[in-house]
Amino acid sequence: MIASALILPLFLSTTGYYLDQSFAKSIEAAEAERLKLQLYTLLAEAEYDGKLILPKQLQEARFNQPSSGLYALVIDGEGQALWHSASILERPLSELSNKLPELQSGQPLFERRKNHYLYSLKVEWETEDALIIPLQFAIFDSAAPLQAEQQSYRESLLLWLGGSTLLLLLCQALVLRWGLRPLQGLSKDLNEIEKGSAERLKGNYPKEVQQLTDNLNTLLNSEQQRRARVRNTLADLAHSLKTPLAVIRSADTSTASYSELVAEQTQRMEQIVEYQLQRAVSGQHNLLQKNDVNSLFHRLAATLEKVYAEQSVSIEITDNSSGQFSGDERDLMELLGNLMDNACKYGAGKVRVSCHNNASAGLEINIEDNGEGIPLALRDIILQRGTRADTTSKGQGIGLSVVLDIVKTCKGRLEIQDSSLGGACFTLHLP
Amino acid sequence: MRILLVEDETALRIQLADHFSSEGMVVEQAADGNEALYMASEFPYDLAIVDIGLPEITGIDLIRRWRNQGLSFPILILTARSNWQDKVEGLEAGADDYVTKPFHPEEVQARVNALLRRAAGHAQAQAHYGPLQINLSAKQVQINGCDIELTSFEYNTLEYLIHKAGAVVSKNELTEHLYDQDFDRDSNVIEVFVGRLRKKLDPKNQFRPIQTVRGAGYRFALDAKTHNDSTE
Repeated sequence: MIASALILPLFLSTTGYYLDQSFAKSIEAAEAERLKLQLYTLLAEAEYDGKLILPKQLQEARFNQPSSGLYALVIDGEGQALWHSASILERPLSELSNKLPELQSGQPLFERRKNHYLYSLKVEWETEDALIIPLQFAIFDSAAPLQAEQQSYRESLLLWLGGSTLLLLLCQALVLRWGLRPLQGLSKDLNEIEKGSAERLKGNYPKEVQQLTDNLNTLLNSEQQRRARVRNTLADLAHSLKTPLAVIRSADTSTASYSELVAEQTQRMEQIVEYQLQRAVSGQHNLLQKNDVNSLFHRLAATLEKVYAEQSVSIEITDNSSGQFSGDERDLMELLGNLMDNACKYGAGKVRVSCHNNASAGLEINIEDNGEGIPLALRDIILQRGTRADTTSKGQGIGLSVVLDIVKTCKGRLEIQDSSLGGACFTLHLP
Repeated sequence: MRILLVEDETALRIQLADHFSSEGMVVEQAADGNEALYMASEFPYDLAIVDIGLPEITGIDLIRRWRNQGLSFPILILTARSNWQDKVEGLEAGADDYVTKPFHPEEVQARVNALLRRAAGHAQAQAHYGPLQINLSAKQVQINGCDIELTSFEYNTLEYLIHKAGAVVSKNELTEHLYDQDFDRDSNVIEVFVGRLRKKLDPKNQFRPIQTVRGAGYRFALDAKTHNDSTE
């Protein structure tokens, strides 16, 4: 609004200035034409018979009226006045003639001189005797009428442009106020959410801000889900730990297998804590972040090749691999890290990874190894099992449980197939 | 082997230090990054174990500074947070392997042994040097297929010399890497150990695995065999 209040008057002032200048030029051009016509009329009325002769009453009546504002003068080659119109009475003749510039024959001059316009033309008058007599005709016209006309024009321009500016500013203010009303409504709705009186934006918003409100609602949903997850994670953790603690507590301390039982339950608790810690990191949606999958492949490959150096694991990233993941980089890191780690652990030294984005199907990521593969009968069991800590069983890696958890949160899918390398191929389908 | 253990949690640090000491390693401890920086700049270490969550200077920052200073000993990181972001960052900073807490000391020991083997250029746990065969993970030595009984110090001495195979190791260096700081050092003890080791490995003085370089120290003199060579 402030910007318009500054720019609009500036724009209209500039327009006004150019309009004024244009009008001034136009009326001056008209005046030049008029004076030219009058000069030629005077030329037509002039005769030379030893001296310059012009009628006492000229066609242009103003030449005949004293102080009419329109004056005519003829001077000779030496600048001496030969004739002047009857209207020149109150002005000294010499004053006017002295001011006339020297001209080339046939070259007209039109200029503004203080309070008068001057039109002058030098001619070479050829007498019957073939004598060439240089004569300079000059017409002076008072600038007062034109000035008055221009002044009147300026006043109208100022009135109309000024009025238009104010009107435009008012209209703009009204349009902005009306246009921004939905955002005020949005701000009010957000306040309600902050206070806890509402959970999401429920109002009707114009389609220009609909995308914004949809994204905000998605973000709010995501935040609420995350809070629910944290609550559930803590509840899960407490619930899951109670079982092994109860087992230890109720065991007979005098038996020989007590220490083995404690070790087993302690390991169980370690797994539960590790799983919940990893789960707590995951599932945080970042709507706007796009992550390059290949760069994470490279980072994880460098890490895992170091860790598994003794097993001489090599990780290949296929040449045409390329894809983007929409979401939190940490989630993607957990997905790829756990699956690639498993591939290194259970493979026979060779791992291959690839990804690509499909417009309809979304992001597909493949992680393959040359290990023993996974029997068909086990695949469904692995995929269905263990998104809740207390249903994980001995032997199932925490890593895969975390992967399944994240895939579910992202509304994706995990498949297990055979790899052309000879082992298993884990395929992630993500939106 | 001389290890620097950097862990701010005292109970865990002492537990790990005791474990490694019992395995015959020289362990020095630092409770924070500044202390660790100083110690690594003053003393030579064969390996460092670093907790990621240190006060003042973080574990990752410590590792970066060591690598920038040109210190190339293998580094094992201990991390309580098991997420991949931290593991990758730790290894990108210059660490060589990681262990997540809680862990069993044996697991840490296995990783340490693997790192030491790698640092010495041993891709595998087993190495053959002529008639001498050494299993670095099981800490067993055989000569021409027969098991040789070595004491802990004798084995550590042999292992250290093998790790530095081809290079001359001074008595001073051996002392520093095999004995605790507060041990009353006497270079004659090293001579006695080396003498005993030679007698056990090569009683008939046939292949002379350990050479004395007069005025300089000792050198492990046998060449490594590839697996194919050893089966021919």
